[in-house]
Amino acid sequence: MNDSDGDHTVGAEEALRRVRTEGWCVIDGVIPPDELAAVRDRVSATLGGRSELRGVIACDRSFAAYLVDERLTAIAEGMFGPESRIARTDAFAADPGAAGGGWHADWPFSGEDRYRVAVPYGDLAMAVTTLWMLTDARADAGATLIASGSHRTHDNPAVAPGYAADAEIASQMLPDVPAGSVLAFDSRLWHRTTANTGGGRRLWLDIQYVPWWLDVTSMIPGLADYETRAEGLGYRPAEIKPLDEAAFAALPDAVKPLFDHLRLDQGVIAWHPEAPASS
Amino acid sequence: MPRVSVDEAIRRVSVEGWCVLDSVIPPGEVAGVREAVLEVSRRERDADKPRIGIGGLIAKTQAFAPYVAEERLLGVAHARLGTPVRISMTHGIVTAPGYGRANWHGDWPFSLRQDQKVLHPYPIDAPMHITTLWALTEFSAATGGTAIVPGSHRFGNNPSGDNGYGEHRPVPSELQPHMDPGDVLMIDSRVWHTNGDNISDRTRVGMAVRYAPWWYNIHVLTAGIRQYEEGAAERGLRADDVIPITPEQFESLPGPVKPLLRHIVIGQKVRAA
Repeated sequence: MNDSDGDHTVGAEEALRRVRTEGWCVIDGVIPPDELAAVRDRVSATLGGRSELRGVIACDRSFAAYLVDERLTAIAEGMFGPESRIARTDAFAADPGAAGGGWHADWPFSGEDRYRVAVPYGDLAMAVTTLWMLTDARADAGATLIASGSHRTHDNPAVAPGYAADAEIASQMLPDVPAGSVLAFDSRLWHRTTANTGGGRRLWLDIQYVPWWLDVTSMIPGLADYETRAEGLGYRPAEIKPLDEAAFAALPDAVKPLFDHLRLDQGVIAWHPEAPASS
Repeated sequence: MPRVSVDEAIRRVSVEGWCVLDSVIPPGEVAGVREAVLEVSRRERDADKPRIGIGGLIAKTQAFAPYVAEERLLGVAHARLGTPVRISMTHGIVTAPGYGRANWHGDWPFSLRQDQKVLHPYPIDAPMHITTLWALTEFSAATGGTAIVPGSHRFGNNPSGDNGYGEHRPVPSELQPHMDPGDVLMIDSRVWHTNGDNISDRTRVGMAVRYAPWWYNIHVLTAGIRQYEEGAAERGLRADDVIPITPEQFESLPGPVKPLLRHIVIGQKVRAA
């Protein structure tokens, strides 16, 4: 059944149902066609010659207004309840000839250190990944392969043996995601990028919605979990860039609650029954 | 009572949802911890009430700190929650003779009465939090020791919601484990539990210490963090479930305990990347 809202192929209710059940859904037209070029150009300029930039919201708000698209909000609130937030905002580019990646699930179900959920993990959705295509995702231009339904398994090829990183999986598929649309999926879903064998640069955003109860402080510099993790790694990971006052103020009002937890002006203080003067 | 091993404790908490760990505080050392908690309770604003709940206990006394990283406690926590784990809350609980039975509930974030909760029904195979209840005096049917419903960590809901069970009605399968001073009842926080009636003439003294995986957001309880401050402003109440500790208090903690409490040390701030 399709509950199209008239302007879009997929409505909020259907988007939520698909992500919950199949693990993924393509949300069409999140960035309107007449606004797409401006976002693409801005993100491309922000990236410069890099192939990836983590925490892009700290320096580029061109896509911010679309983060509260009602279908994305329906997925986040339907999966997690109220007070969901955004953890990661990353920009990626794949130039012609860029290699593909291996099968994996996203953080917190994979990662290079012990700050990932232990396998076998329980059947608990902890995050929703959204891939925002700023150029068309086609087989020859590099795209995202998914293993539909894999979000209900208890591990993934990046953290457990069984499937090779480049295995051909019988149920894999390559969703057609035109520029301006978003591939949304349960972050447990197995997925991988394909090589860019075409002639153009592929450009996309990777934005992750999480519930209030998922702790992202292991990625926030200055807080104990991050500092402990950085000590263990021997370097300072940069998955998230906290927002200074100007960057936060520049966000649309409806979007601000999604990033409150990343503001620089917070830290652990002594408890007192009265609120601190600055709050 | 035979000493429960780490492996047995892991198996019991996983399968039955609960386990009593004997003598986590050695018999000869319990009195000192109990007196420290009672001393704190006398300074609490509820000191004249039949139930004195002490929030942020670790900031008020560190007398129990040497025991919170006991191998069986951390063994179960690591097996159920992964690594690293942290201590989310430390409470003291003092109940006077005559204090009555409360309501069946799962602990935060599984109680529907709380503002911050996970959606029901919650998954049956994904533990998020472990509650430990420490007996500093005898916990028994007479003193109102904790009653539990075995296996209820896999029910997916609890009587704080509309699941057909009365919050104040007995449940046929409930148990009230006996604990001697120094013993600890370890439960998956989803397990339905409540205190019993204290029908004795003795004050019951205990503590609750909760363990959380690294990925469970306990900063919503921490003063100065925006999620806490905004929730406090909304509710008009600055909850004291967690009271941050000073760097000096942190330094005085035993080495194995420090990683469990580093996240509540005053002064850490979000910094630019």
